[in-house]
Amino acid sequence: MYRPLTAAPQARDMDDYSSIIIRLVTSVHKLRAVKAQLHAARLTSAFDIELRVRAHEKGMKMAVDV
Amino acid sequence: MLPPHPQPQYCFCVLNAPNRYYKITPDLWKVWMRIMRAVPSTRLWLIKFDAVDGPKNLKRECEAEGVDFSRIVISDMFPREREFLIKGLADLFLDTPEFNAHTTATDALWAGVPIVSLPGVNLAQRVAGSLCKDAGLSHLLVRLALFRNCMHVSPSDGCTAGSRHG
Repeated sequence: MYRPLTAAPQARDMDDYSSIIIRLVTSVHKLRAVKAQLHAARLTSAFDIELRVRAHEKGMKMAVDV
Repeated sequence: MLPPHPQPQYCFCVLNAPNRYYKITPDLWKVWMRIMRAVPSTRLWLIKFDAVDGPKNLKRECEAEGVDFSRIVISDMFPREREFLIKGLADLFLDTPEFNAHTTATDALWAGVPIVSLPGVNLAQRVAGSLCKDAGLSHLLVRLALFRNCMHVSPSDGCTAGSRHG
């Protein structure tokens, strides 16, 4: 099953990709909001565990402490 | 519990890309250099690996793109006990599309650093995107028009996501 990334911006090419990042880098408030979101999430141990478990479920090799 | 995470600085954005150098393709390097030219307050933070000529080559390519090499910071590996605190000082983690960050992407998220990724067509090119999605950061993924990327791959689909491009 595939779900389209509807929330993600679409880049026409690599130049456009860099423009998207430039807009992000210059939007400090947006970066702050995302960092705050991540900070809040990582205060629960479930965040870390969940990430790794899901990664394993998808068959990815996630090296932990190696 | 980890100490509070530092806030991003207003006029100084640290772009973190601690991947091995072979993941940095010429196209991607141009993207990074374009960003640095456009936003003079940015610094690009890389990790020193075993490649002896790595920093020398990066310096040459940096100067070829008209970016002052002093804005590239190349760090040694960090002690495990302080690793996440140090990595958390970055403002944005730039993924490598050709071969994504895997462990380092997980570390970045755990350190509280958002990742911007460009999912490709095979598993190695979609790992960081998958991690971003799980961390609720789908809005930081960028779809390349060529691929019409979709993010969710069920176990039964395996690596066949690449067949959906076009």
